[in-house]
Amino acid sequence: MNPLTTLAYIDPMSGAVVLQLIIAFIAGVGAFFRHTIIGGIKRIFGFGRQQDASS
Amino acid sequence: MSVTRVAGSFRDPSGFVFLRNEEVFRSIDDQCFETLMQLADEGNLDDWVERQLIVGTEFIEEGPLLDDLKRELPETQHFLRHERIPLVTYPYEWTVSMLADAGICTLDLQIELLESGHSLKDATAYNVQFVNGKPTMIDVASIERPSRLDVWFALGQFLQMFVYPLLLNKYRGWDLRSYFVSSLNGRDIESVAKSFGLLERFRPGLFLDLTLPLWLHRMSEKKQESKRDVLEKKVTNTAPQIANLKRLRSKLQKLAASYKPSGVWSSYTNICNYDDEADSAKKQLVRDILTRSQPGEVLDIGCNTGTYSFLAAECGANVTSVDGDHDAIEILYRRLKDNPASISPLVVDLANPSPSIGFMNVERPSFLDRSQPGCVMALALMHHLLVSANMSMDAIADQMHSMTNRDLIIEFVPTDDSMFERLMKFRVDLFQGVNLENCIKAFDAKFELLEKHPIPGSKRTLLYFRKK
Repeated sequence: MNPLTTLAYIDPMSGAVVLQLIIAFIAGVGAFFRHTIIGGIKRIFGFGRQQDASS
Repeated sequence: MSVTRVAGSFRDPSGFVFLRNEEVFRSIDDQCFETLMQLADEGNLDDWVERQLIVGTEFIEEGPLLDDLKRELPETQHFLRHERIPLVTYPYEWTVSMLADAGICTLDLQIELLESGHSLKDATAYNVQFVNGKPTMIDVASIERPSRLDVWFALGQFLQMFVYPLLLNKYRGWDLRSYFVSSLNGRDIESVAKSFGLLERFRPGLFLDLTLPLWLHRMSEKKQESKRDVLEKKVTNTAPQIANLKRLRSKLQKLAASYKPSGVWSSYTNICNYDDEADSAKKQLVRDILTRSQPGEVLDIGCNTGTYSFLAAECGANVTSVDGDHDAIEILYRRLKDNPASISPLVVDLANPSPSIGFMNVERPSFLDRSQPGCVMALALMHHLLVSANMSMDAIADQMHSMTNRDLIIEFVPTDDSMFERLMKFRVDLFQGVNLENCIKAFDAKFELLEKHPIPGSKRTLLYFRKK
């Protein structure tokens, strides 16, 4: 099955496509570094230490 | 058996729609067939048909019908049969809520498709039709299996067809007819942006869907290199696209909900001069005629907010309800959402009905070419056509004759009726000759008068004609 029929006959309006690529890139970066980001937030607000202390 | 290709079905290279013996078929290529078969095997296709997300669709896989179709269209291997839509309508005949709901239907289907690894390759409003007041996607050949699932390539088209007209309506007061009739496939982003001032483009409702795509569009126009390789990359993460689609869905809902109908005729039922006796007598007369004649298809012209359209639907008819007043139809559509009935509400000005437009002037047929009812109802409309549209009684008779296949129900309003006098307030009285006798005489050449009923409690008369 050929998956590449998109853009066969409509004008995709480049601005909307580029914007989606940017959103997808930001979402991808966010997903890749999510553990680092969440860990950093926890450290800043001290959630991790409280959990460590209680355990 | 003759096969008639639908004039508007020529853009998609994967197939086309045709009529054969009053039934609707679609010819599709191998790739489209495989895609749809996969969805059918997974049970998605039947589920979407049941929920009215897509139009009734069945594969013609074997038997004499397939042999006949292959003989008549030898270049095609695969065929689908679709449920027939009572009346095909276009976005320039819809109201604000109808366009928003058509957009929401497109988004809902796209979200469901993404979950099974598919997508819509286009997002035109002409792919959506209304059945019993509910939008449904008719172009199943638009479904494909793309490489990237994080980006929807048809988003730009979706913005042009659904979001921009609704934004222009909300912030600039544009009506949908002005937007679509002059630009059948929606306006490009540059011309939409010109309608807004530089500062206004930073409005939260405009920035993400108009201003930012416009900047990026201009930037990418400057760079001449092709970026197809980026678009053809395989990405299976649907989360960014689904988040964006849900945002757009919520935006369309808010745009529709913020629209407040305020047209003159939308409040007509509050100001008209019927007392309870006349109102119930008129309803009973109309109900009697429709029950006896069973016209099948009824065209209710000047329907206002649809009281008599609902009555005709109760009598078993498929009703097309038209009025020139957008807000009256908007109210009818909202009523229809609460009380589903076989009614197609449309904004059509009878003095200037939708023309035949598009490629070769046949792509989107005129309203009069699409509508072939067994009965036309013109209740308390004639005096508006006479006074507001400056039409003569003979011209009205000609128009009614061309519109109906069989029956015509007219409510005659005399010049001394308070609603007629209201219309005449600041006009020169050119209507001395307008009386019941002359009305019947004007219609006599083209119609046979079957019944004449004075409406008790009013000065009006209900006339029931049959086309000669």
